[in-house]
Amino acid sequence: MATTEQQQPISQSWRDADRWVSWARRQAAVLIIYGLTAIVTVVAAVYSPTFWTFSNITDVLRQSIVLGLVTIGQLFVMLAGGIDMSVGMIARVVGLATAVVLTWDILPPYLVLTLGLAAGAAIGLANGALVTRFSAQPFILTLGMMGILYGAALAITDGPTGLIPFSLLQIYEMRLWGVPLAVFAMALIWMIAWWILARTRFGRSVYAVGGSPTVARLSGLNGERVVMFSYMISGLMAAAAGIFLLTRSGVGNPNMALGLEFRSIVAAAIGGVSLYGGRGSLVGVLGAVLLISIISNVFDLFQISPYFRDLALGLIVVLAVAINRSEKNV
Amino acid sequence: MTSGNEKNCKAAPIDQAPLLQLRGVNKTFSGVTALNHVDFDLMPGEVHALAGENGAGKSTFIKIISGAYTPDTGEIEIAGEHVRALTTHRAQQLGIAVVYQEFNLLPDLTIAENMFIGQLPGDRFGSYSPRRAYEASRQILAQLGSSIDPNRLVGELSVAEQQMVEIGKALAMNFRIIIMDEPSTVLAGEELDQLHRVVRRLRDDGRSVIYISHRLDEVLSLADRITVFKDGERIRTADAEEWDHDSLIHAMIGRDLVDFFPDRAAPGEKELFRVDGLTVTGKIFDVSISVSRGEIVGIAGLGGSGKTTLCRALVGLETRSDGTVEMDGDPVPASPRQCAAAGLVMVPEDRKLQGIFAGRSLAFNLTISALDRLKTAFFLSFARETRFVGRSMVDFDIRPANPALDIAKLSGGNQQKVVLARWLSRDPKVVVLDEPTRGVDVGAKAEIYALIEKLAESGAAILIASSDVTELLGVCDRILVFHQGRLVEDLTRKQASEEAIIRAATIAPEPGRKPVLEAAC
Amino acid sequence: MTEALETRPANLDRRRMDRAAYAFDWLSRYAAFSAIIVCLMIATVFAPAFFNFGNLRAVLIQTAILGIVVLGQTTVVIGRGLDMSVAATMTFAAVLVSQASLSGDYGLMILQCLALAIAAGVANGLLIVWRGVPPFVATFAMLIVIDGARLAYSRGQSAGSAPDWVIGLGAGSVSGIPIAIILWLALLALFFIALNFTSWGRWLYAVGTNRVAARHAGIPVKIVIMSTYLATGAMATLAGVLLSGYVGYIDNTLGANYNLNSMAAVIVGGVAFTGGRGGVLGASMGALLLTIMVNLLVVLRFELFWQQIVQGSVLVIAVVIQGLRQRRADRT
Repeated sequence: MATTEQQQPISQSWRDADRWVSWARRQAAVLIIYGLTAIVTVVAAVYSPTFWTFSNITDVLRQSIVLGLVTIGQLFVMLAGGIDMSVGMIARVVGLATAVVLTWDILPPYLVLTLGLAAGAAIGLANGALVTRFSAQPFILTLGMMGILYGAALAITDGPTGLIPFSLLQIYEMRLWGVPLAVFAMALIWMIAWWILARTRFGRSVYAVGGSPTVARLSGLNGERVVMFSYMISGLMAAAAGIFLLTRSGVGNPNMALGLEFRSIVAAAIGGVSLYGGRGSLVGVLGAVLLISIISNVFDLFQISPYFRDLALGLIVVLAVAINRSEKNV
Repeated sequence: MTSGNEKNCKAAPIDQAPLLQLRGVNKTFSGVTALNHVDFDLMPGEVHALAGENGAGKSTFIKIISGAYTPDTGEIEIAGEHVRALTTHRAQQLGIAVVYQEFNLLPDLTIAENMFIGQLPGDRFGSYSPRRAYEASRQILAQLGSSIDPNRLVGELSVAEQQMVEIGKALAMNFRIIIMDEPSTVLAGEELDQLHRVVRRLRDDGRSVIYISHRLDEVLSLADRITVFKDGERIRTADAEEWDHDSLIHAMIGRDLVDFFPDRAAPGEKELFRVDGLTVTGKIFDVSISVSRGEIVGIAGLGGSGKTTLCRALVGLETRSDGTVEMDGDPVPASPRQCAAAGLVMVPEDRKLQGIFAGRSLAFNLTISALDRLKTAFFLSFARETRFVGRSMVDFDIRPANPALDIAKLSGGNQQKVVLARWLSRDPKVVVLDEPTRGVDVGAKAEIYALIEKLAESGAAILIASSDVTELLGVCDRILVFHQGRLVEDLTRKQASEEAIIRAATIAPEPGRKPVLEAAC
Repeated sequence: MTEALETRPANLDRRRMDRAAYAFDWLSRYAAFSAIIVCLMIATVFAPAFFNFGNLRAVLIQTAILGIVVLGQTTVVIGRGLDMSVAATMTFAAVLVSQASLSGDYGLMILQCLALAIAAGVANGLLIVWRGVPPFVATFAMLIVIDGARLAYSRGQSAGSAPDWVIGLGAGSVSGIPIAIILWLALLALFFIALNFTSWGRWLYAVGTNRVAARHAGIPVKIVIMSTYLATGAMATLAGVLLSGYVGYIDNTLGANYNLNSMAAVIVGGVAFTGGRGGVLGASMGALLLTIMVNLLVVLRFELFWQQIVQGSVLVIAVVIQGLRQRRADRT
């Protein structure tokens, strides 16, 4: 931190060298993930002529938006000590419902989108309320919620549905200096999320509550409210991802957002977020999201059979969780 | 003051009203009296030490003051205000902070954030300002005479530094009453002096400190007043000058404790159990012990001295990085399961966490380590189980003698008897007991001592780790004293005294301090 | 004595709390059984077709297949874990069946199924006991791996049909009793005996109740936990074969619902997600309940999506009841 240099010498046992060592240890997960991302990028650039082109890179960035949105939400929940299995289905239900309502053409499109976001936040809030008020186990509860929402999605439609107004399709296509506008928007969202986690009382409380609910309570924090808010953010972000998916495909696809819950947990875990809460950084998660997006882009470029992709992804995940030995092991 | 209490409570200075006052506080846990009609008052700007054996009621007492327990009867007044329902939250509002032995800190946040987590300082946009938190915590640490960088993560700090942060947290919330539960057990040398300076500084600021310690020298030199607890009662409160070593020990132990323990026959000479150069990286170093058949050996030491690590390492619950453990000349295996099969068992210190299976029946808890004896061919035999459980309950006098009862509903003493019975029914050759009477009522204590005695007579070798020195003096043939992971003293029954043990446990043999690890550059 | 109790408000409070605790305890223990009764009453009034011989037979065979998965899942949950990879294992087993029906090499198929069961169980178990990965993450990751391995193995060509003898296993009968049900009941008896009358069962309950104390008590904790994941791997593989036989054809979504359903059956059947509590009889009741509910929805001509909603709701309600029960237990 820049301010420390102006202070008088702090403690003899705590010198610059120690500070660097401590920083490196603290950021180990982040450093590893960015190192890996760099390696994958270089390898891809060397072996594929199309990878390191402006249009492909902007495409990778745009492809990373859906996963990024959901993972930011998942990060809040996981930092607060929970898990959200319902994000994929929230994205699907909100996406499909928005598509259907847009087709009716009775409300202004942007109002419909806002309502969609609100619906996602409300579902997240319901998750949070059930988890905190009834001490329900988060994983199983949100798994049940995932089942209910899957049913709701089937109830809305079992085939492609909805006709999206042209103005909304522009969300996906609009460009500034050749870069999709959505990428700038996503960058802004990453920055806002960072600011919330690092620079607001709520953000620091999320870490505190996830780190130790008891200590947080003894320090006068309202843990239940923090947890509830984290699920609400997760629902909101999932809804945003669902809507963004809609602007990409143009129709409500009943298979949309498949496996998003898993990929968001994977991204968070690879990004160094503790599965027990209280530890993890947004920067690491950003690296993980980029890494996953680049890898799937590389799969596309090298035309790897989709049947091997899941296996590869699964093996990467198993390796990642196996290497990241958790300290709460008994 | 109109309070009707004129028992041996020292008259408070007339110009000051007590900051904290307790009258006739009682607390019982499932029939066991933890506090019996305790009166107490705390003046502004005083260091008030609490002394007493383990189980004397000190921790129950501070849990009542901090709102963690509600007293059964009695009154609490804080700053002249009668407090009816004291919760932890309410106690905090009233300015009471507790610095526990195990710190309430968040290892993944910085020092500054830990200090202010409940009330993070904001900037003009209302968001949290790390810079202001940094400055504020810097000031507080300076107040405490510490120069740690507040941007460090708490998880990286030494125990002494963490303690400083914990005290700083209490200051950040501007608490008037700071309760310190055995803050000095983990400290030595310069760190200890530093803590004493901090406590005096708090007092000079007009704050009140309740200080709990087992180190009598420290209590006498640091405190303004000292209150001694014994068996849940307040024995005496007086100015520190009116106390000395002998009167403190006398008040803490009382006279009747000597006949509390069974008489001991001289142990056999034949060596049964031998530990050579046992080391657990970073925790215990080069420990060598020899125990004979029928001998009871005590292990004394402060918290963090390695007592528990030693017990765990003996049965393989901690990885032995060096050294050998032998029983009857054969090396002891490295897992609790194989150790038990070989006849070496360990009764763990934390009964609730490591000992009992709460929510399961007494019978389940009794038999879980002896299932091989209940088997006919492949299946467990209920007839055998019933017989086994019945015999154990008689042998160990477990009450209530209802095999189907949830073990969590038993008293601490009876729970401990179940855990003992679980192991002893295997007729082990070597028994390691870690804090066997912690949280056990007086009656059950005597029974447990008698059991240990009987076991030794039957030829087993016994090791007892305990922080209750009088217990060790009463039961053991020999007492080994540990200090910072090393065996520093081996006292026979004749040589051993409370003073000798405490001296060895608190003072490092070589005054030279552990070298600070320097970065190689 | 009772009079004195009733006049004191503190005791009244306590009694009220006891009653609530008792109610939650009862609910978490007998929820499945009482819900089955309610379903049967609804069926009597609104859907007499439910009681057709053919329909009842279908319900029982479906219960048997879910019930076999639930047996494994129950042991895992008693040990304070959970297995999210059962659906993937089932589907893979079904794909192995369909491949074998093309090649006709059934000896190889049996070997492959054995290898699948053991590989899934060992991989889950190792990740959990050796690397300390939380069970849901480990088994979830294995779900992806097994699904991926299946796709890679079959190149996506999973649609096929089951050979006659497998259809016989899944849908056939011996002297009027469907083979699947015989298998289920036999395995149920086996698990019941193992859980209640062997050291392994006691150990498992001890590990689920308090893992640290179990280690201190000399229980081979890691082996016990490992064994539960092997049990789910084996049961899921067997259920996958039976399901492919019962349905008669194989596709990529066969078995997809069994993660949610087996969890729901176990939890609603009174097995606590906090470990150490419940048994296979209750969980089997849960399996029966879920099958009856889904079947009723079909008989009553509800649309398909209601099945999902009902299954999810059962899980949510069951986990909320258990949470409240746990909260009461913690308070006292």
